[in-house]
Amino acid sequence: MLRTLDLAVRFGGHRAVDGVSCHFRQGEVTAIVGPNGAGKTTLFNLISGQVRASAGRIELLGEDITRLSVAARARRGIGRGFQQTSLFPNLTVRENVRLAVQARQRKGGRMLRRADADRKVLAAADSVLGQVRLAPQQHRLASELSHCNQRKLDIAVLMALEPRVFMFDEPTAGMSADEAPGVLDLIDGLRRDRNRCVLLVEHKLDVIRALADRVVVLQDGRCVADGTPAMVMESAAVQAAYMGQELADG
Amino acid sequence: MTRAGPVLLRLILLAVLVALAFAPVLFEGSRALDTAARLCVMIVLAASFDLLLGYAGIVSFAHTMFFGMGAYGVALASLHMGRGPEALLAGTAAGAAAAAVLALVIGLFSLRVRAIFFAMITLAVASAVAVLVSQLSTLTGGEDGLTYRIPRALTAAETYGTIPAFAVGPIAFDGLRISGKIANYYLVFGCALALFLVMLRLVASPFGRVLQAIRENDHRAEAVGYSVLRYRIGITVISAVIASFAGALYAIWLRYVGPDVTLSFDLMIDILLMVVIGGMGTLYGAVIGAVLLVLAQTYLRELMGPNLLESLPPAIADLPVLPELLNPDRWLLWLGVLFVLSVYFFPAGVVGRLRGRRA
Amino acid sequence: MTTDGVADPHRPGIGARIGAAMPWLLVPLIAALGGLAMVVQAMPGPEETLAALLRTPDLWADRAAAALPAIAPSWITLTLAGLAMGMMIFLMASGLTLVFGLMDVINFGHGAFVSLGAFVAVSVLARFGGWTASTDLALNLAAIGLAALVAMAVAGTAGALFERVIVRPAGGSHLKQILVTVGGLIIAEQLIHVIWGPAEIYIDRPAALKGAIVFHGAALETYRLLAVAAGLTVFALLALVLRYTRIGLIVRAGVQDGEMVQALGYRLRGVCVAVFIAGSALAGLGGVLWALYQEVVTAQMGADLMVLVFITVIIGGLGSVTGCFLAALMIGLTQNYTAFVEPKLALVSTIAVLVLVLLWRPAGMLARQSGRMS
Ligand SMILES: Nc1ncnc2c1ncn2[C@@H]1O[C@H](COP(=O)(O)OP(=O)(O)O)[C@@H](O)[C@H]1O
Ligand SMILES: [Mg+2]
Repeated sequence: MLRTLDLAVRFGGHRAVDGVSCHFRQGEVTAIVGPNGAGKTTLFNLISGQVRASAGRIELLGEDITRLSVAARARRGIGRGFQQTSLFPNLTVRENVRLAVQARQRKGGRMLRRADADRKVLAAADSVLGQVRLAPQQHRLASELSHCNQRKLDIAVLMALEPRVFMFDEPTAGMSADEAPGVLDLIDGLRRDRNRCVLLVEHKLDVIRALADRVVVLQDGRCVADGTPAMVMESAAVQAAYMGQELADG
Repeated sequence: MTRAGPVLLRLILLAVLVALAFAPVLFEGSRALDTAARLCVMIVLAASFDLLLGYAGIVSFAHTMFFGMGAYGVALASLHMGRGPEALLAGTAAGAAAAAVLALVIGLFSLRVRAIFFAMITLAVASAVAVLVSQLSTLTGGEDGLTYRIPRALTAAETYGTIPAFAVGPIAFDGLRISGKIANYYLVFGCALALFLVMLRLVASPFGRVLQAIRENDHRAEAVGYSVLRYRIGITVISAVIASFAGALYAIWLRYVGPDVTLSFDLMIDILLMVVIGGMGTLYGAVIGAVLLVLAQTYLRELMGPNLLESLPPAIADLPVLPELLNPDRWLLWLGVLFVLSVYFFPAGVVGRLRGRRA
Repeated sequence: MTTDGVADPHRPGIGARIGAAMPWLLVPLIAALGGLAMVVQAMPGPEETLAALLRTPDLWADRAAAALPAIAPSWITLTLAGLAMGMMIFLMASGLTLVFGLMDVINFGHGAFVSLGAFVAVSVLARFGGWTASTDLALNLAAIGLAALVAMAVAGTAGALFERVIVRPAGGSHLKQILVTVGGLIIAEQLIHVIWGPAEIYIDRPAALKGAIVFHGAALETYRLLAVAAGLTVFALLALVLRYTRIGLIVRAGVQDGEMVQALGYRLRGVCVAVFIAGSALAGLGGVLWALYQEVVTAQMGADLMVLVFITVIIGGLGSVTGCFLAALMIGLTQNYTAFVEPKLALVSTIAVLVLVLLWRPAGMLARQSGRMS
C-alpha cells in the first residue's frame, strides 16, 4: 500500500533519514523502533509531507506522492498523529474532532451550511469521542485538557479522518498505566480492517510483541533490520542498536 | 464568571440595533443621522476586517484600500453614467470585482511563502494605491476627491410624507418629514444589517470553522487535509469584497469620496483599534468597537474639550508635559495604550470580558 | 534544502554561480535600465510610436546618441540621489532584518525610532545653531556627528524599553507581535507630539552641506555624498563585526539556528537585546540623515518610510544584512529614476521590483536557506 524507495533527507550536513526503502502492506501493523534521534519522527514527516525529501520516492497505492503538499497527501489517505501533541487549542474537543470528520466528508456545497446543523458529521465525531473515552469532556476547550487527554484527542483527530495509512508517533508516551491499554486496543481494532495499514513508533517491547505484525529498526537514519517481532528482537543488530538504549530510556 | 455579563452584552447589542434602526426618529438633526450612517458602515468594515484578523489570524493593512475601491467605484460610475440607480449598482459591482481581483493577486503573492509577508506587502500596496489615487487627479480628483450626484430619491430634496407631531404624557414628538435622506439612511442601514448577518452566517459555517482551525494551528489543519493557502486566500477575497460593499454604501451616503475618508492610514488604524478593543474573533466585538470609536471621535472633543484643561488645578496645568497628555487631541495615545493592553490581557476584548471568557 | 541538481557541491555550475552573483549584478542593472528609460524618454518625436522606431533602428540609434549627452549629467545626479536614498533606507532597514533573523520578531514599530532620532537631532542642532550656521565644513560635521550620537543614544535607549515592554511579552506569535508593535508605534508617535508639539518642524541643513559640486556637468549634492559615505561606513562596520567578532559569530549562528546556539550554552537573550538596541540606534541614525535630507521632520515620517523599508527587507530576504543593503540600493535607485521619468509611478515601481524579485526567489534574494520547517 505505502512504499518508500531510497528515501533520504539532509538537514545541513546531517542525514536524518538516509536511504530507507520499506513496503508497508495492507492490514499490517508495522512497529518502527530505534533509539532517540534515529529518524523515526523524521520518516513520518517525510511520508506525511511536513518535510520534503532530498532524494527518493514515496508511493501510495502505486501513485507517486513525493511532491504532493501535506493537505493533498492527507486527502489521499495519509493520516498522521503527532508526537508533540498538535491540536486546535481554543476550539472545543468536539470541534477538534468535527473538523477532522468534515475534512474527510468534504463536498463543495456543504461548506456554507451551518456547521452545527450537519447531523451526520456530528454523529461521526461523537462516535470517535466515545471510542477514546473523551465524550464527557467534549465541550471543554482542547487547551484545558490534561496532557494525557490531549494525547487522546490527538489520536481521536487521526481516527476521525479514517485514513488509509495510520501513523502513530509514540501514542502512549506520557500516558498512565491504566490509560495506555485503551489506546492500544484502538490500534489493535484497526487491524481488523483489512484495507488499512498502521505505522507505529513505540518503545515498549511488550506492546510491540502484542500488536505488531512486523518490526522495522532504524538507526542513524538507516533501516538496520526488518522482519517479524520475534526475528528482529533476536538479531544482533537490534541488540546492539536498541536494547541498550531502551534500558537507558527507562 | 458572572452570568450577568452575557446578558449585558445582549442588551448592549440590542440597544445598538434599536438605536440604529430608529435613528431618524430617535435623534434630531443631520449630524446625528450622519453619525448613525457612519456607524453602520464602520460596523460592516470592522466586522469584515475581523473575518481576517480574528477568524483567520491574518493581519492586513490594505483593508481601507478595498473600502476605497467600493467608494470610488460608486463615485466614478455616478460621475460617468449619470445620476441613476444603475450607476450605483454598476459602481458597486465594479468596485467589488476590482477588490476581489486585487485581493486574489496579493494573496497569491504574499501568503504563498510566508504569512508575515502579507502584513508588509498589504501595507506597501495600500500606500502605493493611496499615492496613485491622490496623484492621478484627472481620474480620481486627487487630494480633493470627487463629489457627484446620486438619485434624487435618496436626497433631502425628495419628500415621501410626514409623521405628525404628537405628545403622549411626558413623551413629546416634534413631527418628522420623511425625506429621501432618510430613505438613503435606511438603504445604508438595511444593507449593513444584511452584510453583517451574512458574515455571522459565514463564521458559523464549516468554512468559518476551518478558518478558525487554521488560525489555531495551521500545521495540523494542513495535516488533516485542508489546503491552508486556499482557505487563507478565500477569506482574503471575501473580506475584501465585503469591505468594498461598505465603501460603496459610504459613498452613497456621503456623496463625496476622497483619499482622507476612504484610503487613509488613520482610518486603517481606527479599524484595527475597533476590532482589537471590541474583541477579535467575535464579530460582535466589531460592533462594540465601532460604536465606541465612532461616538468618541464625534462627541469626545466637545464632552471633555477645553473644559477639562481649564478645570485642571494650576499646579498641574503648569507642569511641562502632563496637560499635554490630557489634551483631547492626544486621545489616540490612550487608545494606543488600551490597544496594547487589550492584546496582552483581553485578547477577546470587551466582548470577551462580558462573556466571561478569556479566549 | 534546494535540490538544484548540482552533483558536487564544491564546484557549482555556471548557472549556480550566476545565480549567486545575481543580487550584486541587479544594482548596476537597475542603474543601466534607469539610464535607458531616461534616454528613451528624452528622444525627440513624441508622435512616433515605439513600433515605428523599431522598424528604423538606425534612426533609433541616432536619436539615442543625440539624447545621450543631454541625459548623462541628470543620470549621474539621479544615480547619486538614488544611492544616497538607498543608504539611508539601509540604515533604517538593517536593524529590522537582523532582529527578524535572530529573534523571529517582526517589528512594525521600527519607524518610531526613525522619527525619534530625527526629532532628537533637531533639538540638538537647534542648541548648536552657531556650528550649523558657520560655513566651516568641519564645524558642520561636528554638529551633525554630535546630533547623530545623541539621537542614536536616545533611539537605542527607547529600543531597549520597547523591547522589554512591548516586544518581549508578545512571545513568538507573529500576530501578537504585529498588533502590539503597531500599538507601540501609535503610542510613540503620540508621545513625540506631546514632547515636540503637533506641528512639523522645518530645519536647515548646515551651511557647508547645502551646495553641490559639479562633476562632468552633473551636480552632485554634497549632502548626498555624505549620506553615501555614512551608509557605506555602517555597512562595512556591520560586515566586519558580523564576520570577525565573537558576538558577530553568535549572531550569525543565531540567525541560522537559534536553538542550536542556545544549546551550545550561549545566552542568546542578551545578544538579542543588544542587536535590538543597535538596530534601533541605526534607525535613529537613518532618521537624522533623512531629516537633514528632507529638511523637515514629522512624527509620521518613520511610519511613512516603513513602506520602503518593508519592501527592502522582503526583497533582500528577511534576516540577511547583505541582501538588505543591495535591496536598499535597488529601491533607492528605482525610486529616483522613476520619479524623474514618471513621478506618479515612483512607489508603484518599487512594488514592481518587489513582485519581480519574489517571482524569481519567493523568499527574497538572500533569504536564509535551511532545512527547518517554518
Ligand atoms: N527540522 C529539522 N531540522 C534539523 N534537524 C532535524 C530536524 N528534524 C529532525 N532533525 C534531526 O534529525 C535527527 C532525527 O530526529 P527524529 O526523527 O526526531 O528522531 P526520533 O524520532 O527517531 O527520535 C535528529 O538528530 C534531529 O536533531
Ligand atoms: Mg520522535
